[in-house]
Amino acid sequence: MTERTFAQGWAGEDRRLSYCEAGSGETIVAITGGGGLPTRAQALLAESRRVIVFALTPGPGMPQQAAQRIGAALAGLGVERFDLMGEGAGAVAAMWLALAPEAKIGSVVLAAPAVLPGDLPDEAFREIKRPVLVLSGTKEPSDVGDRYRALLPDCHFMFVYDAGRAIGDERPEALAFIAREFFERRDLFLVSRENGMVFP
Amino acid sequence: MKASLFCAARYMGAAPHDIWPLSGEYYSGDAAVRSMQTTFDQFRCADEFGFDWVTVAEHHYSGFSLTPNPMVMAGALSQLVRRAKIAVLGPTLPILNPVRVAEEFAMLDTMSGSRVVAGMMRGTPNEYVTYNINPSESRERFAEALHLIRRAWTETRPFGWLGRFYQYRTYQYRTISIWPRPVQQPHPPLYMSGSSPEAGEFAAKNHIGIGFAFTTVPLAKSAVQHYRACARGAGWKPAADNVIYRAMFHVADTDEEAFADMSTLPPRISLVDQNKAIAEGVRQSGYYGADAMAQRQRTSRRELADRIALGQVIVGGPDTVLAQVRRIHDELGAGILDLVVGAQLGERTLHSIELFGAKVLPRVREL
Repeated sequence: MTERTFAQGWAGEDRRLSYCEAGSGETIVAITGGGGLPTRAQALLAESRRVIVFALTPGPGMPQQAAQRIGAALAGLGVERFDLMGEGAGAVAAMWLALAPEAKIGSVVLAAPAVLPGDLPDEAFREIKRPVLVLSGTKEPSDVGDRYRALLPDCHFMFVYDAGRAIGDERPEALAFIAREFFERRDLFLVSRENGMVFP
Repeated sequence: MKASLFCAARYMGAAPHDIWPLSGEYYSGDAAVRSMQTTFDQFRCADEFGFDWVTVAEHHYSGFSLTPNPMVMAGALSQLVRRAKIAVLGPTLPILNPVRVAEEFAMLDTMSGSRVVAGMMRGTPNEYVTYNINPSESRERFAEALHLIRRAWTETRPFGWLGRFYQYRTYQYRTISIWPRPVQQPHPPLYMSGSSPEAGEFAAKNHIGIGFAFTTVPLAKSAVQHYRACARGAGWKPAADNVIYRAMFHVADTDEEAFADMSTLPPRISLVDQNKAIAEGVRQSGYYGADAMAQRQRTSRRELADRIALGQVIVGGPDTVLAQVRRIHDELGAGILDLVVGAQLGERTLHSIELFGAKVLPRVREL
């Protein structure tokens, strides 16, 4: 599975919302802050899961309205249950999507989330009851994730060593690994299941 | 210029000095206890006679040093040595759990009343065999571990870590959260080896002091210049205390006595050179980096006169020793001289420490 394996599709009202999709199995919805190809991390996740990627484009009403459009597009695609990933500026839209009453979301991973703008009514995010894992690259200021950590009632926080804002391309194996663990096991991902035995 | 006393806690029983790893068949518990007590006596003496620091380090599987965990020795020194700073130079970072290292340093800083100096080392190459770590991963492990330790010391809120070599999971933002924390803020002074160009560049970029052990003054001089140039590029100017130079020393009342004492010593063979298979395996792994030849040369076997000329050994009466120290200072601009006990000769070694403290150190401070 590579970044180029993703197929492009159109969804939503008038089929004007573009997305990329690859893989099969339980669905992960990823909302990214920039355009371009899906990241290497998303390609790795698509080896065992169905991954649908929406790339936000700058525009009015962002990001709450973007979340509404993505929610409607997913309904149109018949996707009811999914795990959610928000990257960069896509993290805030992912949070709004996680708040939607109709969303049946497992857990949420936010990779290098953008700083929450001060004018957002982000106190609403306190209502997100799903477990959220916030990842912050060590090349970024260490307080980027603070607001998320303060707001989210069930928030986990990890530094991703040697990464900046593009964790999905800079440390793809690490991001895919920890996201897969978190989506599958939620809070229990704390306890490692990796085999430490050298030889049986 | 300041001075530190480095006593490696050498095993004082009868055992070969040129085999690594050294078989336990040579080991005597009584001799080891005597060795530890002698080490404590020497550190106490250094503290009493004005040395600024005392130094401990990590070595495994050898009579060369009985401190495979220097943190344990430093813990004892935090109570024995009342005034001097306690320099752990250092843990062999790439073979250890970095969070454990952060915790141990914080504990030492607390126990000693903020007197700990934190050297982070890659160790001698043979140490990679000790815990079965691939030496080719050494630099990357070192860099990541150091960044993680700094985070563990300075982040007030708990965090998880998703590294290349180290992973610590997080549970509701309650994972890495060390207790105790360092007393010195933001953390104890940091040092690392500056012998290779890669190390000098890394240290300069990350505002870390450098140290040299068992090198030569010409090699160290070139490395210090590189470090200072890299620091300029990174926008800061290292102070004299950012550079440590380590040399073996022995002082007696006269030059003749000092040289006679030193002549009783066996030639120094570096730990890695005591095992040809390890030396070759480490070389093939790429452990040494860009200037591999120079790195290998610094541990070559040499006659005493050559070692003095190259600044590896400081030996003589007080005036001769001062002249040798002055030359090292003038060549390197190093602010800390880390003096390794050269000859384990009982009372004569204690006298050497006393002489340096009483007759040389006051004049070394003026340099």
